[in-house]
Amino acid sequence: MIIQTINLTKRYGKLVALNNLHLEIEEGECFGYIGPNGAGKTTTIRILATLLQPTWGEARVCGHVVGYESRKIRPLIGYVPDFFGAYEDMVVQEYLEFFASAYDITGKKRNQIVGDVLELTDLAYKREDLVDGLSRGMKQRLSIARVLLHDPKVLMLDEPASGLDPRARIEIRELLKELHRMGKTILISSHILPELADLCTSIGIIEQGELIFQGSVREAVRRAQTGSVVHVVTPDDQAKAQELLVGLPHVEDAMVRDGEIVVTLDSDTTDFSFIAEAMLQSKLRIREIKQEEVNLETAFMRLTKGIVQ
Amino acid sequence: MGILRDIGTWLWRLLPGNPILVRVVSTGSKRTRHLWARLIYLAVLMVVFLAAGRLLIGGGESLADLAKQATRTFMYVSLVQLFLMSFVAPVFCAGAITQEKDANTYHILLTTPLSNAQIVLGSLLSRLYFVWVLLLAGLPIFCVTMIHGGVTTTEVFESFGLAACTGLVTGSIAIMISFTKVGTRRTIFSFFIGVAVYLLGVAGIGLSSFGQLPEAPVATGMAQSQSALRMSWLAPVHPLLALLVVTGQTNAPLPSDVHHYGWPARWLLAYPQYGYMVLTTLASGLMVLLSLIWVRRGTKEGEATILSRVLDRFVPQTDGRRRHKARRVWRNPIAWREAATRASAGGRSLLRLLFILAGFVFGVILLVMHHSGSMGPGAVGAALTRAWLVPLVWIELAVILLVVTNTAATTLTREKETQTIELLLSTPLTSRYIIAGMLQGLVRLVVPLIAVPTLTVALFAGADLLHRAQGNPVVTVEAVFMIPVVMTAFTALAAIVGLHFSLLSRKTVQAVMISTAVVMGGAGLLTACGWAMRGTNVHVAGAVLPFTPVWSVQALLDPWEAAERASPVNWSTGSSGVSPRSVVAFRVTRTLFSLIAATVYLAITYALYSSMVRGFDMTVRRQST
Repeated sequence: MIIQTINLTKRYGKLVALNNLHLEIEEGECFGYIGPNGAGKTTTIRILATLLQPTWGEARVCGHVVGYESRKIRPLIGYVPDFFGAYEDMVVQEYLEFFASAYDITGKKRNQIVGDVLELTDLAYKREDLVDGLSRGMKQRLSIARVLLHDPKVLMLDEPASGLDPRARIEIRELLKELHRMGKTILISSHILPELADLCTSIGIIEQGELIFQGSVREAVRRAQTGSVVHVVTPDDQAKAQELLVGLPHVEDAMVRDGEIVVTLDSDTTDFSFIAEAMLQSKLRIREIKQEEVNLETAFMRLTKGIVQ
Repeated sequence: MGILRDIGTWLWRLLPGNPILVRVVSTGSKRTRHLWARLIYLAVLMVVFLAAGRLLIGGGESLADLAKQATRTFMYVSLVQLFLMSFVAPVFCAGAITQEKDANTYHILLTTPLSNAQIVLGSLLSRLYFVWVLLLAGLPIFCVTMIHGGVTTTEVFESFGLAACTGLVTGSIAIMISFTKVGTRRTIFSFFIGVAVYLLGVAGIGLSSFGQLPEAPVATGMAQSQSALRMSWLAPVHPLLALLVVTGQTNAPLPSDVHHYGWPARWLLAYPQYGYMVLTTLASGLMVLLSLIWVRRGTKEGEATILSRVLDRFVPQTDGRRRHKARRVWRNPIAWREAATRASAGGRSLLRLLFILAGFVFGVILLVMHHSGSMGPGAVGAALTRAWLVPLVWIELAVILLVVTNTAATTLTREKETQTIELLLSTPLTSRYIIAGMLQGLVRLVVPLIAVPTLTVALFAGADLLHRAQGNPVVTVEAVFMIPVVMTAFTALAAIVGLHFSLLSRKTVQAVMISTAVVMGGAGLLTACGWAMRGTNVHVAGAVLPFTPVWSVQALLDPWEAAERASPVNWSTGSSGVSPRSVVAFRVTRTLFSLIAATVYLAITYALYSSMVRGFDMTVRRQST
């Protein structure tokens, strides 16, 4: 277990940001951390990045306890916050050299690493540009370049795709996929769920400081699938078809919406071939019949209550 | 009727109903910080009132005595009120320079239906509201001074008018800087220093013989007992000099005496207090007008201007990318950043170079004047040269202390404001390493500055050695070694004080103001203590003066003057009893105690440093939550 939290609790005065959080992330995983605004994602990441002390409970990174062994943790992690901290009058190369020195990387090794990281993040042609003048996408790439300097085991990224245009988002996603392939453990929080579904091996959903789900994306989808929804399109009389379908066993509801009949089945029913059979018996033709797809977004909406602290 | 109603609505929304002003007035008064500021302000006025007048604790024997005491109380309270206002107004108005920028509300404001006038006047008056309310809070204290006579209602209103106008003009300057979009956090310090330099510099000129108006009658006030004082021709442009007229310390000339100056100079000189009010109000109006014109300039950043088009003809065109060659980062990245990026940004390198050049040029001119005989022959010439050299080093020391305090005060707050502190804290850098790096960077910044007075003194010492035959040295040899030692000690303490408040404060403005006040206040207090101890005896003076920045410099550079002041006066001859032996005794004592003082200052610096290192993590993490 590369990241583990046990009863992790964080209070800001009367506000409980995290409440007995139990989180477990295996080495080499790409873990998507999702939740509504104010759910406690940033607080969790800041605690794991040794920036905050837990009020109660324990957080471990690479086996070291946050707060007691923070100095041992810092060389092992790379933290990308949800903002970009820029120094005035510093160019890209100086920015990276500055942080390389902070990780005690000096001399020729530093030049080599900075050069490699600039190449990896495709920033080599920007090395003499002032950091302040970079676009948001470039700054985000520079942030990732910064955390790669010391070759950390764990990357913690807080909303890395926030505010980026589609191209920059795709570039960042591809970069993170590459880093995952290289064996890095990645903890990433984001609101852009389709991208997380594409990138992550497992996810955690947090709401009001409590972890309400942890597992694979497939598992989240399955959990959210409380009852199948089937969409039926018929060129014949839709009202007659609706009347027929509502009366069928295992059908909870059927309604006409946007030229389709939306049929909700009960939670135990997964096979919907009986709908086709019933319609054919009633001489109602079928143009299209398909099960509604449940994706991570739908799963998130179903699993969370949407209560913001 | 419709037009009148529209004008009425427009005027209502311009001032009393201005949304920006209404927000500040309805919420600002409830802030604990403001209540504390009001309490402290009134407490200071009250203490001065009680100490100066002794009105409430007795002391007056007759009605005439009470009236005299009331006049004296009024003078001191007015002076303190003006002093506080000169300090408080820039403090509260300086925030306007970056507030909109910090809160990212500037562009939002410009997209609302608020007119330029509403935005500018709303911002100005919301700043002035607090300053003027503070001023009004002190009115009851002034009313008490009027009970016993000796103070007229007009004088009280004139005193308040001067203070209020000082607040108005300061606020207008801050607002103009803010709206012309040149305001950054760096500007705040320059603004602060600019106000201080104007107030002190013009007051100094005004009180000198050069600044006095020949047509003005010699004062009959209380200051007359010390030296004859005439009103300064700078009184209409300086609040303190105008207040001296209001409180009767100087007298304004009769209009007929200054008739030959022509209008408006004759009116300004005859009624300097009103002149100051009118001039500051006009200047404020002009600055508000400029702000109105420039208020939307901030949205046009990057657009071509007439100047940029002209420059483009002469300077090779760039591709618009802001870039420069990468510099080598040192082993301690924090120290490198402090020295290479922070200290050199925004033309600070140029300012430092100017300081160094100016210091050397003044020093060399003084040396040339001394050796060419322009300062007079022998001991008289040497004494006169020292009389110029000591203030020169004082000014250099003051500048160094201000620069180092300001730079140190901005180090950590800037990290907090740009949130780079979080990046640093997630690296393996320890608090000791971060603070030591910052100090190292500050040292690199300050060393060339301290070299200026050191080399100036060394030049004089070298020249003294070459012209040994004259027998009247300008400076002592030990001063060459001791000046850098004591200056380094004072500077180190100022730097650690700045760093300390930078750690404790969340905002740069707050850190700069508090640390500057503490360093300058502390230096002022020590100077006052040193002043009181100067006339004791050579051994006591030699032991005490090195602990005070101002007198330490004088004791090192001019031990003859210091020893003379510390020696008993020979009443039979009327001269002081300074002897070569006394001078030697003073030199030995002050050299020894300069070393001790430097050690004490450095020990305090180290203690503060250790305490900062211990509390760094806890303080920063507490602030980040």
